[in-house]
Amino acid sequence: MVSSSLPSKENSVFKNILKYYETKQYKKALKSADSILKKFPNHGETLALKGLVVAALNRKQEAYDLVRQGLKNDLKSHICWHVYGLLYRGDQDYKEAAKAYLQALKFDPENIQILRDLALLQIQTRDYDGLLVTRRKLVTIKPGIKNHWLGFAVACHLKGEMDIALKVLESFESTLGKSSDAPNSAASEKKKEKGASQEAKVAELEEKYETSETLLYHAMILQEMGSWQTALTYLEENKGRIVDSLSYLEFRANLLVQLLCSQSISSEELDRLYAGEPETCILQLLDMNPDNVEYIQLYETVYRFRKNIHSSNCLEALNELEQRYPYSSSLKRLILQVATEDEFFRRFKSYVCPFLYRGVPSLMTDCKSLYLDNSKVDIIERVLSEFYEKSLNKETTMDQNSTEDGDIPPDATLWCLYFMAQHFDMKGDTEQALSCIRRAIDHTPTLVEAYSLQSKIFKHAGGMLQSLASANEARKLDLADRYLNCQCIKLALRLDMISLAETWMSLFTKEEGVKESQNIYDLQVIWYELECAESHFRLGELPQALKKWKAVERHFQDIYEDQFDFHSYCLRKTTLRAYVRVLRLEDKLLGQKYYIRTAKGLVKLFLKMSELQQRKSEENVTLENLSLSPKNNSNSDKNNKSHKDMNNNRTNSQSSGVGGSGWMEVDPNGESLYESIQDPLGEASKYIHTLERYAGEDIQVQILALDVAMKREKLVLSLKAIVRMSRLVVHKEENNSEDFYLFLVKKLQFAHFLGQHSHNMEQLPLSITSYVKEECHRICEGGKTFESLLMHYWDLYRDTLAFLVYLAELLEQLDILSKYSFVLESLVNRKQMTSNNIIPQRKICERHVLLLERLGISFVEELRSFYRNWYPYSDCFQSPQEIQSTKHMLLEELKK
Amino acid sequence: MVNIRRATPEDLFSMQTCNLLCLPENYQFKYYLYHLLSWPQLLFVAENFDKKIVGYVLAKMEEDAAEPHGHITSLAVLRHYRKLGIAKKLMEAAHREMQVLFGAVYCSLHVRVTNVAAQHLYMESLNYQIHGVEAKYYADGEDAYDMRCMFKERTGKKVAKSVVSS
Repeated sequence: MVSSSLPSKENSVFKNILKYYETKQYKKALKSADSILKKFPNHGETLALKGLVVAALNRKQEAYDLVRQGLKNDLKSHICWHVYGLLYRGDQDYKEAAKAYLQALKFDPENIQILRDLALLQIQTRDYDGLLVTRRKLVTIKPGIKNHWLGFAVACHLKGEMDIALKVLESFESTLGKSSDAPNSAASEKKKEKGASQEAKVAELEEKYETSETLLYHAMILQEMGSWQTALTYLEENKGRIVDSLSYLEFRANLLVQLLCSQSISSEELDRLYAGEPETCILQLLDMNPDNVEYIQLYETVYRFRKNIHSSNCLEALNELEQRYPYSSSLKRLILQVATEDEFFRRFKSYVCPFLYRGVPSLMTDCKSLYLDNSKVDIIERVLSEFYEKSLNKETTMDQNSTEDGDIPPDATLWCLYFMAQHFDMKGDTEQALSCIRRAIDHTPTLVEAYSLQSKIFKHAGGMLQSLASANEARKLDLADRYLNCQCIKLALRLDMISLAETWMSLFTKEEGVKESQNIYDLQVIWYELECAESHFRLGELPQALKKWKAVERHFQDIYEDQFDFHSYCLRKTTLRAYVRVLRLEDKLLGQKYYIRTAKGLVKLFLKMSELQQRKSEENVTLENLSLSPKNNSNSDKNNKSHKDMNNNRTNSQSSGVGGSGWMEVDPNGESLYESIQDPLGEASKYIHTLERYAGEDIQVQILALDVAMKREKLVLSLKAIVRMSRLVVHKEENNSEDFYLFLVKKLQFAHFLGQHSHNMEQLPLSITSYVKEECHRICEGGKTFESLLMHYWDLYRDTLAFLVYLAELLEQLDILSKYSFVLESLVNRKQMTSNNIIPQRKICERHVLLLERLGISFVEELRSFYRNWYPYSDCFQSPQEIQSTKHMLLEELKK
Repeated sequence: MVNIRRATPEDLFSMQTCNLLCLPENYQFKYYLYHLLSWPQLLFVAENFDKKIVGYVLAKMEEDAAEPHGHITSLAVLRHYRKLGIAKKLMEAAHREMQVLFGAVYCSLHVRVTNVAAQHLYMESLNYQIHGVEAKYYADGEDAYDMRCMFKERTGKKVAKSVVSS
């Protein structure tokens, strides 16, 4: 950077500013800048540079002021614009930064540094049109640089200009592999300089690797274009230069299968070119890794295609493979999925026995999906009990393969009890499961896994406290094991015992001088922060819940931000396949399950918050002026406004005063964060938008969307949510599912909403009125009012507990429970409960109890003991005093 | 029962979670990204029948080293997936790739001096030897053994064969 408009003396001082800045001598840099400004107070570029230095000293606002002042004085300076861009880039505002860079380029169109930086910003903001222009310029201005070629190719690829991408790669590849005389080759330079054979070898390997990665990237693009045949030929031709032999084979296998199944070329042609090659190639892969399920599935696909079989599970193909790979446990396991009856019995036995003998704890988890088939469950039980008998009698083994000397290992009985416990637990037979695991514990009181399993069984039966007690037994047997510790923490948080969870957490996360929660935040312990948030929310501690959920959201923002440094790094490393995949991952980052859970939680929180605000403002209104109609919100508006002012001040003071302290250390309990939320429903809709995009098929998401839309009195959005919900429920088919009853009640709620907001219909644009009316008519079972729809469902489903409970919850929420007293009456009716032969799900029974408890109905005691017959272990059906004392005992226990 | 395969970008989330559940040494997501984008072939995961990630190895090449060598940054297997030899298989897979693709002469790792079980795996099953002690290597002040596994000199052909037949 040379400033144009300064005398030579000042110009050299100007250069010094930059030098000092780059070596982080900010004070000296400032001094130099000030010395120029003394003589030329309006020198734009010096002002801008001073701004840059000030920004490095974390005086952000001053920095922007200085740079803007500089720009004002010298609008045509690329330096000023470049610095302006740098400020925005430092604040991670990449869009604004890119704008400034583009301005800078107007005045210095071939500035390589600016172009390179701009390209990074354009990838980060996914401005692929802009990126393509920038990358094309770079490669045109400086074609001798490898990164420019690869960067251009990647830009074309991302933009979807595949043909150009290929051409670019082809010209680049023609320069590869001729390293000995290519002047730009880093490897050859190193060779010449050092001459050491070891280093030369490394450099050579490095270069080979980079070539290989480039070629594979080329093949990846061909594959994405659907040019399978070209890709195959390309790989074949370059086989010798591809060092990543696994990628090579996987590529080839996939391409061959794609080509085969696409039928894009005739089968004769295919046979002529690749006779038997798909099979050969897949088998080569399986030779390396016979447990790889993807390879096995590829083989199946080819087999089915050849034999014209349409069913999804192909036992013949698996059997054929098993002949070849008798030791592949994945194959054996896949066969179990397909085999039936006697064959299943035989195969299951030979599959599990070796694992039973060895006492592999994950055996039953591995078999979980077999439990969907009841006939298989019976067979599994038979095999296990046979084995158990034998292990007790210490007879000879069931299976010759498993042990050679014919003796059952001494702890076979123990493991068998362990697996049987798991088996009964999966069947939902808590009693038997517990009995087995207790016997296992009696047999060997030191087996950690037995306590862990006991903990799981209790958890599945709703006995969270006992689950925690057992998990803690396991933990105590191996205090150095973080996994066992984490299991305890999770359970403690489910029980809302937050301080206990924190104590346990600190056993593994303590770091001196850093606040605990900050350390956890720094390490992105998402699972823990999520559990904490959910627990705080249950406890009604909304600010803390908000803080934790926001923490998780920030992790995702950081993870998005993380890619920035790799845009240029990966061009250097040539790891382009992985790089492009990472970019695509980042594009759908918010679809990650942890983020979905966070967004759902935040929506619930904002709904709750708006409810609280509404209640508060209504109270204020009634207190201050009873004669005002409740619709008049002027008062609450004022409140809101004053809040806003306050918060603006707060955020300002915060951002300037934070300094080095971390996000969790400032406002650790989220109070000011909570107060800064002005429009909770507006916030909620933002998250609904994201949820719809990434998890629209999740019925919970549609329920939340409906709740938010109704709260916001948005008719069309409410309708949209309930229509989508209806599609999801229909898709599920089993009409007796909980979701079905939930849906009925949501329709009722919608009808209620319609009744109250019929005037909204008139405000709709004419073009959609008839459609909206029609759909509303359909959803309300032929245009029924809330009242008649309620009676309609009542007649149909009054015998189903799930319906009754959901309905009562809705009426409670709408505050009209007393108006429909027959609903509540049916829920405090002994006869009603026993009239039905079907035992309702535990979760529904628990909601039933919680509802009556909230309403303060004394019948709840009787109900508890009644449900205890069905679900003896659920905490919800124990007397509250008992639960309290168990909790107390547990805490006392833990203090020791 | 368990499938050992190369890690994909999607797997990084599960790897981080697995790490946080099992081990006291944790890393930010970016560090996992750094590994994946530098040496995509050196990260392996173990996946159960339901496609859940139950173990991983995070390995790298030591950059600018006099002798090219790999380093195991992190290795974890969920407690209930023990006894299947997963850790050994993960390590062997990473070892193989560091030799074939990056010419590693040996692989190094750090292990807590009190972690006898892990040392047993490294020394007995994987041929590691204690090379030195790093005092107070861990945040809590514990020392680490610097362990190394010297790879046998293999010719190109042999290496290629071992990839195919393992």
